[in-house]
Amino acid sequence: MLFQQYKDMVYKIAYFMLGDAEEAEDALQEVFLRLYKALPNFDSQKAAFTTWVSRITMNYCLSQRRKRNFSALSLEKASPLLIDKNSSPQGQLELEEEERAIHQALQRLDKKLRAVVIMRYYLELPYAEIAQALNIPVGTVKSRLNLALKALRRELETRGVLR
Amino acid sequence: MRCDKVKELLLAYLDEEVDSSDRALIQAHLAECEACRQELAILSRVRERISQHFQVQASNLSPSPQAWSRLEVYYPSNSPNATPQPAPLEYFWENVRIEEFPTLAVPPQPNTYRWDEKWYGFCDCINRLYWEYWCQLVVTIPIIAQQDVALSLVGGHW
Repeated sequence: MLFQQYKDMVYKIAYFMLGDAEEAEDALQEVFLRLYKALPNFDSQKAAFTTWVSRITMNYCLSQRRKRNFSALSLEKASPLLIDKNSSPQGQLELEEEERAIHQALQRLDKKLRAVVIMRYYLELPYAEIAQALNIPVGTVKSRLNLALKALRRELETRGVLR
Repeated sequence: MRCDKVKELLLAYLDEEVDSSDRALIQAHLAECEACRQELAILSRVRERISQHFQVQASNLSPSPQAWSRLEVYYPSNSPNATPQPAPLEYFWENVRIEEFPTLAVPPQPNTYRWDEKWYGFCDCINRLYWEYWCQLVVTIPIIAQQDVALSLVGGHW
C-alpha cells in the first residue's frame, strides 16, 4: 500500500536529486527499506506523511555520492521529451533544448541547494515544512533558495533560456 | 526599505512567505523602484520556469518495469498489510559498497589454508578467553584481599 502510493513520488524526488534514472531506481529500493524500518517512529503530530517520506528520500539522496559525472549522462535519458502539439518541429527542438539546459543547471547546483529547490518548486512545500524536513532553520531555507535561484538565473541567462 | 533588503526578500515575497508588515513595505518600495520591479519580474520568470520544468519532467517519469518487479519481491503489493520480506542474501551482495567494508573487498577463500592455519583462529579464540579469565583473577584477588585487610582493621567482618 505504502509502496504503491509513494513509489512515484520517491522516484521523482530521487531522479531530480541524483539526475539519473538508474541511480533513482537504486534509491527507490533503499528509501523504501528505510521507510519500512522507520515507519514505527512516524509521528503524525509532528509532520505530514508526505513531508516525512520526502525527508527520508532527501536524506538518502543527500548522503549519496554521485556515481558518475552529470555531464556524462545521456541527454535523452536525462530529460524526457517536452510534448507540445501546437509547436513547430523547430519550436519543439528549442523546448527540448531548454529542458535539458534547466536539468543540467539544476544538476550543477550544490546538492543542499538542489534539495530546497525541489522541495519548494516540485513538492510545493511551505518554508516551515522544508525546514522541518531537512532539520534546518527557516532562515537557512530562505537563504539557500535565494542562492539557488541566483545561480540558476545566471546559468539560464548564459544559455539563453530566459528571454 | 532599502533596495538590497528588498532584493533579499523578493523570493520569499513571490513564494508568499513574508509577513504582512514586510509585504506592505515591499509593495510600497516596488511601487517606487523600477530596478526592484525588474528584479522581481526576472525572479518570477526563473521561478516559474523551474516549476514548469519539474511538472513537465515529473509527468514523464516513472520507474522502469524491471525496478518495479525487483521491488515487488520485497514488498508484495497484493496484500493489504504488506510488510517487507527479509531481503535475500543476493540483495545484500548486490547493494553492498565494498569500499565501506574493506574486509569484504577480499572474499573468503575456503580450503586454501594449511591445517595449522585453519586451527589458528580457534586456538587464538580459546587463548584469549583463557587470558581474560586470568586477568580477571589478577584484578579481583587483590581487591578481595584488600577488603579482608580493611575489615580486619575495623574489627572483623560486618
